[in-house]
Amino acid sequence: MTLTWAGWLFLVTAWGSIGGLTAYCIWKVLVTTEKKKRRPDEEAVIITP
Amino acid sequence: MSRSRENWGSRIGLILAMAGNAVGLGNFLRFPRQAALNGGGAFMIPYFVALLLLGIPLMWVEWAIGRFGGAHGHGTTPGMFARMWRHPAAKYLGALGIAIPLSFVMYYTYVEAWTLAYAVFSAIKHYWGVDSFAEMSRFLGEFQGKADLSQGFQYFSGIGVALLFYLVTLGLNLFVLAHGVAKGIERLAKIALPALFLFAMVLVVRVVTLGTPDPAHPENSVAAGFAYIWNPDFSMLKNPAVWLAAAGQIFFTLSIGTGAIHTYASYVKKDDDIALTGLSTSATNEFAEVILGGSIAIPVAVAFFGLAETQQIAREGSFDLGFQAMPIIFQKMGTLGPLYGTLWFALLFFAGITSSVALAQPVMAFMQDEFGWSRQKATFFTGSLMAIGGLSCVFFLKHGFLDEMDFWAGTFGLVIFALIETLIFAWAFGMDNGWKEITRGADIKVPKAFKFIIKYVTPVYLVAMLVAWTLQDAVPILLFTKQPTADAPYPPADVPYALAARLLMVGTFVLFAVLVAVIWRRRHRQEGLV
Repeated sequence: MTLTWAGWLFLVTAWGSIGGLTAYCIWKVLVTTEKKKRRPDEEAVIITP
Repeated sequence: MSRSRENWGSRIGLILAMAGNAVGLGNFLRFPRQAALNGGGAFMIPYFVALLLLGIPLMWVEWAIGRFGGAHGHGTTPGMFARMWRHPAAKYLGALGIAIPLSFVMYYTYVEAWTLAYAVFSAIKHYWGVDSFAEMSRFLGEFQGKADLSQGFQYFSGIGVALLFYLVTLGLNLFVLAHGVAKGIERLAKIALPALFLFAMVLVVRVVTLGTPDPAHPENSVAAGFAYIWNPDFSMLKNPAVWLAAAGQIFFTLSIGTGAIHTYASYVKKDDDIALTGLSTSATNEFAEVILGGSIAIPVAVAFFGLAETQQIAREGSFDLGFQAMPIIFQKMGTLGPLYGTLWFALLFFAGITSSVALAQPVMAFMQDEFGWSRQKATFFTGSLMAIGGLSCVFFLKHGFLDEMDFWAGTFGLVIFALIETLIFAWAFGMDNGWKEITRGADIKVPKAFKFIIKYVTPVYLVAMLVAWTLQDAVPILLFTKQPTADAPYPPADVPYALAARLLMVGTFVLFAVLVAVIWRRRHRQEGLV
């Protein structure tokens, strides 16, 4: 028994969609967390003449 | 109620704790078996449909209910439901959100103890030499106290070792709970989740590089194992049982309907994001399940035992795969076999403990938030209740006590509770209010289609599941004409134990319903005095 083309298709689609979603979520969490952290510093820069 | 409540220490910690709640034994034992038995790759069609229409919507609903309740000082569903639906029954329905996870964790902790015990057995090669299914079954049976010892014993003289591991596991759970949300649960998740993923990846790499372990049997290969899980059998999609199995798997894997997500989400600040964080925990769980869980047990079993024998093991059940087939395989993996065995059972233990502390936390939160108890007092109370059910499972396992609790609390109860919470959220609280809760502070744009899905599609899906399970399993099990794990009537000797398990679960619900009545009456009296 070997993986048929349909088996490969399902495997790649499932892994790709879940892997892609996980990577997107991790990236987005890191970006938004960083943005929220940086906000006070950015304001400080604006205030400084 | 005016006491300050705990908060999560960091967003990453929250995601790891929530993912830890979701990632459980089912990811590594139940999913690959379900996929292999229900159409292979084709199973992923109903699985993804259920994820989109049930899993992710319910995940957001539970996060939203939890954060909403937390903002009003409630960490459990009696207070949350009462705030969302101004009806006297709401708080009592909410008591289910404490009784169900408590009943669940009573037996789950014992299963978790088996994984800890087998991690130790693997490290010290305790089952080395036990290399046939019959003997491994005897080993497991003696360990669990299920085997008939009237003719003597071979491996364990009684239930003592299992009891010891249960008490250690219970102690570890209580130790984490006693340290609170940020210093206990979050700290555990920050260690256990990365370790779990690391162990799983090591095992996946080892499995995919196994190739064909026995050159004399080239048909027994890892590739054949992946083919068994992924080659689609589209004819299975015509079978409603496959759709039901997929929906059930989504429920178990995301830990929906347990009440645990609500409690964890109640420690989120009121304007913090829940949309992205909720989605992230679902994605992390799916990664652990489909990519890692699907690449270990079944492929390695096919590589060592062949397809026919693996199909037989899969039909026997998830525990046969995890606790009988895998220990035999580790003995065939050379000098590193004990290490792989330890990693496998340790990852199951980490998956288990991060879920069990989540299931126990609603009781903790209820006693702390509503009764103003200290964490130590709440831990003692929670531990005592867990021990009553857990010890019953230890001593009455062979009479089906654990299976009975698993069906009513860990399977059927989840769907009932999920339906109740969806109706309260979308219809009593109102979908417009609900949508504002889900999207407030969101770091992603939640597709508007989910507003329609949560209001109409998810409840219909849940009702369909409930009707099917009621007819197929609940009624026959209730009437003792079908056992939870076998298509045969209960042995007459086991009926009293099944009744005792049911009494324990009903008693748990009644206890919390009474406590809800007491605290609400007390609050009304205080408000009247003011």
